[in-house]
Amino acid sequence: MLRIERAARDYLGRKLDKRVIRLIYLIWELTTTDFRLKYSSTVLGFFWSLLNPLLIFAVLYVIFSMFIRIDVPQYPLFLFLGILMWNFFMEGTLNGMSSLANKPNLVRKVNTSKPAIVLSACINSFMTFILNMAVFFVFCLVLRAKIGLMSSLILVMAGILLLIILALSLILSAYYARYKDLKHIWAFLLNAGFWITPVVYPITLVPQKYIPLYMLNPLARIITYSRRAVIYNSPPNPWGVFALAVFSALLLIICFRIFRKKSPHFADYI
Amino acid sequence: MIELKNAGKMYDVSGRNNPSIFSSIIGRNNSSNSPSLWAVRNISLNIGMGEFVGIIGENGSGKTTLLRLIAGITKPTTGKVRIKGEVASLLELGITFQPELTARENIYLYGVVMGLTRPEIGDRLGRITGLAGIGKFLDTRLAELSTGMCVRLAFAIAMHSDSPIILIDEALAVGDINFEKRCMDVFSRLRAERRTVVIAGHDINNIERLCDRVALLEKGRLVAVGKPKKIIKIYKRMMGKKSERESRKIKRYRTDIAYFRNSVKKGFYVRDYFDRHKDVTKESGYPHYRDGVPFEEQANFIAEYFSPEKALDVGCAKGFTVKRLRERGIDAYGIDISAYAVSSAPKSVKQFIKKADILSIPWPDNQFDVVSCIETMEHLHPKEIDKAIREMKRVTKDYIFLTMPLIAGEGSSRWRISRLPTDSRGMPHHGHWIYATRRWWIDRFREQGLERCPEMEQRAIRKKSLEYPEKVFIFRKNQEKRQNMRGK
Repeated sequence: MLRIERAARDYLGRKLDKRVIRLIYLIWELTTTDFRLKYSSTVLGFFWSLLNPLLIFAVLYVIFSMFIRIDVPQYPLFLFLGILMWNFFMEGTLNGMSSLANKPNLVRKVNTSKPAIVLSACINSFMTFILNMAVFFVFCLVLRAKIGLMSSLILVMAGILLLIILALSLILSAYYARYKDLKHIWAFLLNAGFWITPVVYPITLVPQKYIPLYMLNPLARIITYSRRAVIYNSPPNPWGVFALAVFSALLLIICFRIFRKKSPHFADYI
Repeated sequence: MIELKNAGKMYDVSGRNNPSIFSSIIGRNNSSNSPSLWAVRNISLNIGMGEFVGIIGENGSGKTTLLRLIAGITKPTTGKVRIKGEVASLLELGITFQPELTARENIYLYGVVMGLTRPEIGDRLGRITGLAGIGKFLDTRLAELSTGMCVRLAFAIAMHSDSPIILIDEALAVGDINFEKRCMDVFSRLRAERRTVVIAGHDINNIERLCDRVALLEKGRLVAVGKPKKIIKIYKRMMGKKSERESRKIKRYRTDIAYFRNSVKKGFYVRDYFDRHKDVTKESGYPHYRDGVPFEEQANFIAEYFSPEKALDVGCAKGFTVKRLRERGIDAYGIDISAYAVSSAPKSVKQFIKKADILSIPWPDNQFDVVSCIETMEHLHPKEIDKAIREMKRVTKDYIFLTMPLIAGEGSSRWRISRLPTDSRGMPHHGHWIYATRRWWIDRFREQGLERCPEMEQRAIRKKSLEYPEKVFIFRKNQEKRQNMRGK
């Protein structure tokens, strides 16, 4: 038993270890550098990443609780969580899409791992999301919401969302290297997506017959499940979560394949 | 280990390699008709472990593309590139440098990109800053360091990577003597560690000093590989020849010197221009004459006006005029400077044509009734003209018949030099041709004691029996003798 363990460790140590460790360091270094650069020479620094969703939240809250009344219990938390998750999705894909084009030197001048560049952009957004979530939980305390064990499910949902963002970033960045039109198309799709995803309104507002179709949108599921778990402390449909996980994993595999196929040509286009 | 097999890389240089989706949908970006450029082509090269290889070549010869192929940054369009081991490429120094971050932060970032881990960089921090000579400025923002410091820092970081293969592009000339000395120490360390290093660039001295082998690229092709000294010699000669050729072009003496190979050692140009590159002969003013009407006219003219027994055609090219004259029962001979022209003469006249120089016509004095020199004199170097005239005068008994291109301003004693380039003697030149007025040519011949035959020239011009009768010159060697004969 001990021998097998040692052999395995040796194998990992020799073959995999070094390369994987280097990759992790590369991703970490790229992510932190981006994080530092993003808020360098701003007065508020990284507070902007908190302030931004808060401001959007304030605007939308005023509109949807005073002008257009949406009757949902705990509406502020409901809205804030939706905005945070949507923001994560939007920023993550936008960052990921332009990550290769924004670092032409890394693509053209050295042979860096290109998925690592995209991944670091996504992780960058993920870090912002986590900071935002901290603010969200402070909110929860302030509003005296019940936070149970069930809220830890948010980690699973965030993980699935990260996988989807990574998958989309990979395929978007692969095509964005060649076709810069994608930026405009994707911006439009995000705008449209904001309204066909239950960010500001509950899913109950959607007509019953459209629900199955509506729920094909993975983000709609993710946001709904997260809210159920975190705010209302009720377990989400386990099969739904499982389907989501399988879907995101498959999407990631397909997108990664396409990315790999396209990656030899990036240096010629960027 | 690096192994390239027939590797080639083609780039689309249509300027449309960033198409929009729209244009690709409507099919405007049809790659079949867009211009393409082979940056490198058919490169086969093996580089073993621990070898130091230099790549030299002029700008745009494909050095960087070759390095990019080896680094795996781009894939070859044709052929194969096989690399064993990781590659650290220094195609450009400091690619990840962020001016807003401190030197330390930048060292970590660049080191990680170069394939190191954070703890490894931490271990080597002292050596890196020592090599770059920026120890004091470790926590200064990079924006506040000088450009030289940044470049040295980048070089130092890259030199401390662990990759078994290191590619360096034009990066050697970045520091003062001290830095260079430290670099040499680093290189000897790399050599001791049996790393493979590929250096591309123009810094011939350093490449010669460092490398075991050198590869020479020209226009994307591998011209030579071998010992540095030998290859660099070839490279220097290549560059020298190129610059020599350039300066010739400016002086526009190229073909003249090619003709008079006495001024060029070893006869390189004669062979090169006239024998090997047939299309170049065209460019050098030596068109590919085909047998045709002008020769018929010339032969008729010579036979009719001079009725010679023996004639010599100077600058006979492929000897078509000689052939015609022989058909008319005249004992005609020809000389030409171009071995190519002489060798491609028709069989029937080949034995009567010699490859010879107008400056030393291989016949004794007073041999020919007429020496014809058709469209030949203008190719001479201006300084050779007098000698050529003397030589023709020597072999002819009586007449010299010439045609030459003239510049406008017929009959004027002044040069029309305003639009033509001139040589050191103020001689107008156009390309390799001497353009002169009629008067100037006549003066040249008079200086050598030859007299014109105006009435014969007038007859030729009036009758239009030649293609360009106004270019005709007829000189007579001995005016008195002729008059005496006529008197008798």
